Order: sequence, then C-alpha cells, then structure tokens
Amino acid sequence: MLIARLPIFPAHSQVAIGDYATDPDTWPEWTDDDIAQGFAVSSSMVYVGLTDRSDFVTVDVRDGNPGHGEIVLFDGTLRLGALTIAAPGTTTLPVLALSGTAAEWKTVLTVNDRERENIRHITVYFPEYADPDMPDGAWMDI
Amino acid sequence: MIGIGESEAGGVLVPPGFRDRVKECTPEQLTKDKRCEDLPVMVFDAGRMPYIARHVTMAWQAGQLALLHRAEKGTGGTNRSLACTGPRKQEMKPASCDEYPLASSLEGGAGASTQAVPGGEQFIQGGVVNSTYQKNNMKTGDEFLVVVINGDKIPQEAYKG
Repeated sequence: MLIARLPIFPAHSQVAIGDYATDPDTWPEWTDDDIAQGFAVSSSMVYVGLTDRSDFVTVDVRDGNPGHGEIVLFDGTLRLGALTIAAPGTTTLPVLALSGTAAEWKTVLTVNDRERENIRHITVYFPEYADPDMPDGAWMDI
Repeated sequence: MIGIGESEAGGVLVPPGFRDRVKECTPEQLTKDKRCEDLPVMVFDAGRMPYIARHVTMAWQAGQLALLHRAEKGTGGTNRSLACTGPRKQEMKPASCDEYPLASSLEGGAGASTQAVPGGEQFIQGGVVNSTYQKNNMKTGDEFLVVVINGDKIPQEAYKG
C-alpha cells in the first residue's frame, strides 16, 4: 500500500531518509565505499546519493515488501520513531509517525535504475508496517 | 586568510575578521561539537572535501562571507537554482556544481560563487550541513561560521573532472 509520495528536490546530490529526532553525531558520514555503493547508512538515517540534477525525484513510502525484480539499494534495519524524507538541510518534519519512541524497523530501499544518474524514483518499504487484516493485506494475493 | 592553531596545516582557516570567534577551539573540537562556545560552526575538512574547501577559501578571497545565516527551511531549492543554474550544471558535468555561500543560507542564491567539484565531495558536504544544522537546532536567521580545516590538503589546481 502506498502510504506517502513525496517529490523531493535533492540538495548536495542526495536525499536523506531517517529520523531527525536521533543524535546527529550518529548520522552517516560518507566514506569512499559509501560513495561507490551510492548510499551511506547509520542506525537511524540513510543518505541516497544521486547526481547533480535540477528536477525532482519521487520518494514513495510503502508497507510490505518490494516486488520481484525491483532494484534493492538497501535492505536492513533502521531505528526510527518517525520518518523524515528530505534533502539535507531543508526540513526535519516527519512524513510518517512509526512509534512513540524509536524502535527497530526493517527497511528496504529500492530505486528505479542501477545507474545513479538515472535514479528518479526511490521507494521505502516497511514490511512490518503491513496490516494483514487490511484490504490490501497478504490474503489478497491468494 | 590566516591559520589558527599551532600550525596552519593543523589549524583552522577563517577570514581574518573571524579569528577571535574560534581561537579557543581546536579543529577536533569544532568537528565534534560543530560549534565553538556559543557559535555554531560548519567545518569543511579539506582532507575529505579538498575541492569544496578550495572553493570556499577562494570565495572568501573574492569577498563572500564566512559568517552565514540559516535561510528559511525550504528555500534552498530556489537559491540553488539561482546559483547552480541548469546551464551552469550542464557546463560542469560530470562534475557537481558547488555553490558558496550555501543555498540553505540567507546569503546564498544569486551572486553565489560556483565551482565544479567531485560528486562524492558533494555527498560528504550534504552530511556535514545536515548534521551541523540539526546538532545546533538552527532556526531561520541563526548565524553560523564556516571554517576550513586541514588547509594543507587544498589542491592548487581546479577540479577537472
């Protein structure tokens, strides 16, 4: 299920996805390996690297898991109480409240293309956010 | 430009008028605390961002300010498009267009200095900007000082891509 869709105008060629209530000292610092792989991650924040562009990228937030064949950029766990998706230094306002206090959330990030310069669409999946009793739950796939 | 500290190589580069604002703090303290006493400080480490550090110091020499003020959140995109315009970005490809003063500062936008830098340095700068603003809980109009450390790592030549 699509939970949120945000057009983001990147800054410093990247989009930040994470919880701004967490300690900035714990946020990622880009290393050479991070730059090569296209993202930098810490316990509560992911920076997705793009190229220098003048248009928006679209970031979707969904429950459930990525579909077969989707290009997975990151598959891991983030410690989140709320989720902010923004260009660095622009806003800290959350787009999604996940839990009252920070908790571990399995998080999968997919992108529309393997080439950094072609990334126009990022999707953040929260598998544990899916509600099996909702009309779009897993039983619908039977 | 002057160095502060035991040597310029290990010290802090700031324009002359701001020496006193950071003289009590070491590069290590500035990097960790992102402030010197009550002044928020944004640290550009030439060891990690050599071409961005080069750009910043050249912009200072051309008269751009080191003491900046945070712009209203959300105005960065507009400022960015006024400095790193579409044609300017196209001209610099595949390098990244860096602008100083920062687009997220009140001083950014039209009239900002622009230079080509490696895309990876742009990533690192984004992380520094993000954490400096948040760590200092900066609001619109709050001042912050930009400094450069490890100035001996600044390259002589411009980035050629």
